[in-house]
Amino acid sequence: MNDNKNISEEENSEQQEFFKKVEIPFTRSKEEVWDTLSKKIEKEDFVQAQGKLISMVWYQVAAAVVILLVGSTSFMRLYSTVVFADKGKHIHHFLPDGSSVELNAASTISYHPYWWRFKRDVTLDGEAFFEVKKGTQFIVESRFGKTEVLGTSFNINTRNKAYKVFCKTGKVKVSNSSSSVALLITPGKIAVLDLKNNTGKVENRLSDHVISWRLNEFYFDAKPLKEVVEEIEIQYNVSITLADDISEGLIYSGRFTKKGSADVALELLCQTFNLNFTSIEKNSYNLSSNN
Amino acid sequence: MSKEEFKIIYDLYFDPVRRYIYFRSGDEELATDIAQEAFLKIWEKQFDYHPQNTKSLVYKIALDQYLTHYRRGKVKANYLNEFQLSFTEGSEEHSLEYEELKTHYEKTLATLPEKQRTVFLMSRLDEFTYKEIAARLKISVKAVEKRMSLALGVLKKEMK
Repeated sequence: MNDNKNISEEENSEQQEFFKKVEIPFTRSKEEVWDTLSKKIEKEDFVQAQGKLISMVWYQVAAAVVILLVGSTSFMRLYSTVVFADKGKHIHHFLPDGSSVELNAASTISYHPYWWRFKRDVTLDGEAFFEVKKGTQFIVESRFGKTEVLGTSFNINTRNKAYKVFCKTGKVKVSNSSSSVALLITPGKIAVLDLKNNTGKVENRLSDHVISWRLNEFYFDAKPLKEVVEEIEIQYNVSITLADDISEGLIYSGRFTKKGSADVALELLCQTFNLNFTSIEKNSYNLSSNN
Repeated sequence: MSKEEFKIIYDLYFDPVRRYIYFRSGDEELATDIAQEAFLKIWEKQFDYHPQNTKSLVYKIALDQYLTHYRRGKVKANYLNEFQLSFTEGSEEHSLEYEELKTHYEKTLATLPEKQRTVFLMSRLDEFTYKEIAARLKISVKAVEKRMSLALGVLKKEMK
């Protein structure tokens, strides 16, 4: 057994000697393979880099398009037109869809002309008469309430901390700013929002008088003298001072036209209550008791 | 993995890996191609370079490539004819006796089972220790010993 092992060890060492002298005959050297490999790698790098470049360009184009879209959209959304009727003037204005607005004296509307096709939305301060072309929802917003229609004509008065909507044709929905009150009115009716109590009511009286201002005629049904004087101030662009001795409880009913001057209107008013008016300077009057 | 790291791995492992595939397949062209593909794959996959793990990983990838070829039937079972050795240059022994011995070895090695031949040649030609072989092939040292003794047994019988 010992012999056997020795022989095998001898054989082993012979074998080891032999294998030290042989090699495997590879035809391509390590360096040749490396050359092939590095060429492939560089080509890949180039393709990748090109791919990256192209995708970078696309990202930039996409970013530019997005910025342009956002920019133009916000411009369309935010750009607004303001129409203002000065004291003593009425203005007739057409909205982008052909709907018309008649602005009473000392009234303002604003809207977004480039956003009009998406939303018909007008902000109103003062009094105006609208004739709305049929189409999508048309909204008039003011400080105290909101009026929604589809296509009608109606008058809105937001003066004297009141909100009155008169419906001439079609149907009009009126709601207050908190939307807790909503009134639906039909032609000839007036919706009045009570801003103090957050309530509203529908009135049905002498409706023609509401929009007579459009024809330069002014009707007053049992209005406090103070409101009448304010209306005269607005319509004639004058300033009127009431003397302290005039009773606050005076109620006026009557009509005047704007054909004459402020003097004519004041003359009528003074005759009713036995008052005197004096012109201090141009467009400035004093009203006092006759006694 | 940077290009520098890749080059280091290539320099370290290209030869042994190519020989390993040759030991298995007996096909010199195929071994070169497989080794090249394996290294291309290592570059594409961009493995993190860890000196400890990379060794067996390189062998594993080369073996996978080889097995893929094998399964596709691209490896002909013809290493009986193709398994070749040659004398290193400058070797003084070019006698007929040695040539005969070489042919005998080539034939005997070709008849060995693939696993035994691989381990035997890694030990003799690459002069790896059993531990080294075990680490590269991810097998146990015991398994290397077993394959080695089986191979030696066959050789002993055939080379008498």
